Amino acid sequence: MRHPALLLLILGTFCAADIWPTYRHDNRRSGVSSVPLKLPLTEAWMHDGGPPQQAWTGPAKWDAFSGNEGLQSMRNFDPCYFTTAAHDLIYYGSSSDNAVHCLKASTGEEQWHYFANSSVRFPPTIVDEIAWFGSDDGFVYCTNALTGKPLWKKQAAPSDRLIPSNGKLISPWPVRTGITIEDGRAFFAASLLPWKTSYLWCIDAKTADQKYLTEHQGVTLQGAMLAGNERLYIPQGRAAPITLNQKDGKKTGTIGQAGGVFCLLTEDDQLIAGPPNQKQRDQQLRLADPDSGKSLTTFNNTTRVVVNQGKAYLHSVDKLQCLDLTRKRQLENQLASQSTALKKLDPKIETNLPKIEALKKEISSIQAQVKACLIWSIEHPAPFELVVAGDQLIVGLDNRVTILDTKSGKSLWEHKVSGKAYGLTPAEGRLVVSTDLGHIHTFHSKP
Amino acid sequence: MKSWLLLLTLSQLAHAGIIGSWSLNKEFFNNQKLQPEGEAQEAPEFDTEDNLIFDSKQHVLLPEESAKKLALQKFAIEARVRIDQPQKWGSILSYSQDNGSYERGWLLGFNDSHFSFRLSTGGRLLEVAAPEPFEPGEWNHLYASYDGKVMRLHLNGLLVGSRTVAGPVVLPDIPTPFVIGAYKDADEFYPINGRIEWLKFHDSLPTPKELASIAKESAAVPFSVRPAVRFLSPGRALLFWEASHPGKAVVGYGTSRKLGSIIESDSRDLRHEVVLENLKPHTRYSYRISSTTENGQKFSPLYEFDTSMNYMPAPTPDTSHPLAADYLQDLADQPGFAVVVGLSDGSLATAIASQSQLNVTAFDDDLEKVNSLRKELTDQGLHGSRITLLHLPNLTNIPLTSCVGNLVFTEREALPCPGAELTRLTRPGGRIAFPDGTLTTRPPLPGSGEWTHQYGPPSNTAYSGERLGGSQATEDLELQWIGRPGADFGIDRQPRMSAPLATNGRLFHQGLDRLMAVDAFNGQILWGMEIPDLRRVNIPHDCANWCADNDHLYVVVKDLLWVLDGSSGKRIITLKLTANHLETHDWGYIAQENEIVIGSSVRLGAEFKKYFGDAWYDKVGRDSDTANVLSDNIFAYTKSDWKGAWSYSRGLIINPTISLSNEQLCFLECRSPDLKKESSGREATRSLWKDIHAVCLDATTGKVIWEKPFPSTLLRTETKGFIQVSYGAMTSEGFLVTLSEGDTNEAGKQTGKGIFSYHYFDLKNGALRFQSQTPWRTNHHGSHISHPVVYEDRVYTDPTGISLPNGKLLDHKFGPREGCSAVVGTSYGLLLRGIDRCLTFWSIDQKKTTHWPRLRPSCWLSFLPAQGLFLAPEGGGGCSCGGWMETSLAFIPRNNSGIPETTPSKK
Repeated sequence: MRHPALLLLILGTFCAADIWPTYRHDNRRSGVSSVPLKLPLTEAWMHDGGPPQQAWTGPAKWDAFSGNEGLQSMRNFDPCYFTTAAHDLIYYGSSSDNAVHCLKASTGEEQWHYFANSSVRFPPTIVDEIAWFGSDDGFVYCTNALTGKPLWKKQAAPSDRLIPSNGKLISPWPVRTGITIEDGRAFFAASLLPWKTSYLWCIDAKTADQKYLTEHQGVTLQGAMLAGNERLYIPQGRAAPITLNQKDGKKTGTIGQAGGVFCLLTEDDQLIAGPPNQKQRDQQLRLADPDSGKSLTTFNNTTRVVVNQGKAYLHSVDKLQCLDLTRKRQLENQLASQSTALKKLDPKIETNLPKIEALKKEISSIQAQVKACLIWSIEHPAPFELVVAGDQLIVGLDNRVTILDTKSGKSLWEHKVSGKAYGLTPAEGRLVVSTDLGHIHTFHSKP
Repeated sequence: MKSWLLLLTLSQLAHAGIIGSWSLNKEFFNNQKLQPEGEAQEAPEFDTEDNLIFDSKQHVLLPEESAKKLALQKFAIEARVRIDQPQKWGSILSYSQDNGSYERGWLLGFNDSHFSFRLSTGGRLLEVAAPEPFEPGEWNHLYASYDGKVMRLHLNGLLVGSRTVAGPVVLPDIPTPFVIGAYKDADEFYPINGRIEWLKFHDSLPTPKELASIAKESAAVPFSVRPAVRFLSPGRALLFWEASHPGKAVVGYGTSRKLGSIIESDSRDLRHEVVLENLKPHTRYSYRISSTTENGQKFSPLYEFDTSMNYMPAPTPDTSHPLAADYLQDLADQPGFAVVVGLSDGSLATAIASQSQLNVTAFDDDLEKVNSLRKELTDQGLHGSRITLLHLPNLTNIPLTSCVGNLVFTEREALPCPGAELTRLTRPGGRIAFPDGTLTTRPPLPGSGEWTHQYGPPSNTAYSGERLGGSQATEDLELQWIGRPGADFGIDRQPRMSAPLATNGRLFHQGLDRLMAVDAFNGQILWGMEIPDLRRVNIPHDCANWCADNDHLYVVVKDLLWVLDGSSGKRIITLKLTANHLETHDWGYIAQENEIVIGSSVRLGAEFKKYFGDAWYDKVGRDSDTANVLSDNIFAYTKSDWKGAWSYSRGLIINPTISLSNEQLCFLECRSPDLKKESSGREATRSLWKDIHAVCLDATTGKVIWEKPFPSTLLRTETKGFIQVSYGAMTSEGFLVTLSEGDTNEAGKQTGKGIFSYHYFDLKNGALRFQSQTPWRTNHHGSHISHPVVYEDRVYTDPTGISLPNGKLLDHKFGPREGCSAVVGTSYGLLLRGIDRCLTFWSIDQKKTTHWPRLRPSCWLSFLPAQGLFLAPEGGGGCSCGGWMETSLAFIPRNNSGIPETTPSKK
């Protein structure tokens, strides 16, 4: 852990209870809650928000020239109505009806709604009794999280101009990064067109006073923003994510090994993101070092991963697995240095031969230890989402959601849902599942 | 009679030059012995049709001497096969060796899922392969032939591959197995999985008539009009087709190739329409049509459609308002946008949504009213999908880009904004309804052009007269709309495909066996259709498969022209080829002007369809990349009665040269009688370029106005060089032929150098006004096949051009052009793929470029200035090597956009 104090600060913002106050739980977008659900669960209610209206269509069928089929979407940041949860309330933003909806967690009954002038693509971030959200209309809104009463709205776009887009009207500077509240400051970006200036805003989370506004050229900032290690990370979809300094909003770099809109920061502030591009014939996520921008590990044949306490849970080639990621990375570092050392030794020099032999043995031994980092592996369909609640791994599937034991992979519970389960929110004793049909299923413990 | 016997008999009757024939039917086996010759290498097992089962072990060895009966410079191999499992090195019949550099003999087989034919003339085994994968488990007829010069592969009677090869086949000079159902040589053995019904050797080549007969016989369900799917509303689609015989028709469809759902057509005659209900969103469906007639039951191939392309709006509950019907009467182009400035009680806006397919967006300054109506609509599931309400504190100036609404009105009794504001919000051709009941239509934007054909007007100038508001740089244009269709719509960079069209406020775009009509001004999808037989690529060596006028979209589908209503996509009529070509040809060229529709006939299978792998069609000097599609005739219909007007037939018309302007139709024609007789309908310039004539017809009568022998080309001679591509275009004074001529050395290899040569014929009498030339800039990424942009006073071809009417070289260059796209013109500049391979604007006055980062067009022409807009529907999707935006969009000149921009305050 590089900055334990910082992590405590991040966690401290949100993890006082088992709430889920922002997209994928926290600003690292970890998808990890420390509190397990009490099993078994039963379905409490289902809310139909209507089909989501995604910002972008799916990817091309193939790169026919390269013979590369099954290209992944790199911009599907809004496949369902993701939810946040606090105050025994469930919140979601609608890409369809342009509103933020607040539902009573126990019954699904709508408590309040608030309309923006265009799609809301991420759930509101809840801090204390305030709900924050951005919209395709180029505005950021703040409402009372309990009543929906508007507090203020701020134009993040440089003009109020609207243009048609997929049957709606949007700003040429929509807010599609969600709102990241970090250390008393709120961050968001208004961006879409790389030939126009994009804007990163930082405002005081209490007063809404502007802290700074920075301009960025040649970017399309879209997908949930992340915060960690004094940096902000903003995905771009089909281009590499950029990093910015939280203090002044200045761009510090681009993580060339990353891409797509699935991004999370590990506990030691390294970025897992993907797909990095569409050149690979398999589906990949990459772990990159934000300092060097270098790729540290590639997770092949996978689209989702969740990391908790050094363990990575991911799916690859029909198998759901748990890896000791910390150990694996240590060993891979050793492997890399030993391999480099081996390359430097000229086998034509006789005196090198014993050293070469020793290094080969060592490499072989490390390789065996890398294999042993696989803690468990089970046959399992590919998930649309993975999150952790305590010692439970929650898996979103096609028309189904399952809960497994993180220690063994043993199945603990499963239930049908309607549609592809892209959104999972385990919070306050409930599991909220959002699907691509616009349905929100909520499960709770048997009374 | 069993199908194989029928085919065998038919083929034998049609084609007598059989020198060897093997049937793999139980009837011809005696234990492992095959009659008249051969031996199965495993104990034979037969299926229910008595066909020998090839199970990845079985194969049949024939006497090696039989393989040597084959004439080495003129032969054909014919087979009827069913491959159940694609594989590398799949062989149906082979007599070959492939051992390192020792490659000899020939092979009819498949590689992965593509049928292929290979032979060696002493060097490596050369291959022609079908561009499309075969469907495992489907029966196919293969005809591979070689005439000493050209290898050809016909699949089900249609040419699917050809290449030029010189000399006789060289057979192995070591003992070599002659094998059915496996690849086997000295050191390799790969048996196949499937069925081979019969095989034949011919010492003659198949005739066009014979191939046409095979094509007809091979066709599964015989369609007189092939099927298509048009989306109706979410979850609903109309599947329609016309059978060639009356009878019962059933459609099997489902989300996998196993299908699953069945629906029977109500019709028992030729026309069939079935509505598919409860379709899942974002899902690829397969379907197959079965037809039962007095000749038994037949099945169509497996077709596909994708509900991700269904953007049709959901209907809303019936509501009424006294004004709604008036406002909507004769309003074309639905769905579209209705813009409401100022609400009363929302009832008119709701009624408009209910009685039309318009997407209603209403602005109002009363937040309480807006929120109350929003809640009502949300509860009905309508807000944000069919009706959207926006709150604005002030309705005087609506912060919406100009030219959006197909219908613009207020619900209030008095206008809440100046009338000019309503007009500004209305798209050209759209309707403005004023509170006093006045209905007006907004005229076209001044200086706007129509892009009705591949290269703008049918004269192929790549310039429609569009002024684009005087724009000369990207910053002179503002985004008008962004969105669908997206990357999932197209083929993969739309390789050398037909260009989009834009006329009468509509933008038409083709994708992967589909087309879509989009409102040019607001991006709303008007309708979409999935047509399995639509695809045509390599337009630089052919012509587009569609064109449009104000009311219609004319789409070529195989042998027919579909005339569609541009507003709704409904098919109005289908037009046929001339009577003498009905069975043997497909529809080639299509253009329209005034009252005339022009078409042409190309031989079956002549058009290009391959897009997988290396399909750029611009390899320097390679025969397959210089081959043009040729028409056997050209003809006209009149629009008023859809009746044939005239036809002209003499030589082979070179499709990319056909141009139409002011009722004159010009083209180049090869009058070599031998070629006309022998051609497959697609010829490399090496064989095509003899006895070429420039011809001008009266487009209303088909009579020859003038015809002239084509003068000598400027670089290519009869013994040296080649023509990479040939284009025709017309100005008001002349017919301009632009040839891309490449150089070769003494050994016949291309040198990489070449020129664009220009040949300008006087339109009045065909007199040659001038010939001139400019050098190629480079010889890759389409630079050397650039299509010219033709103004009245100049021609631009990468990287420079010539003046008209004298042919003098221009004193400047444009661009630089990068990547593989074509170039188009406005009155003030050229639009191209330029800086960083992105969409780029080059100013004629300033000679400077500006660009839009991360906007990648297609690999031919996917952007066009028309309608007063710069339209760029998605064309680059599939290109995995870049962070392209992969979206459709349109730009409007800043001076027409209506909204000034400001920079946000820093404090």
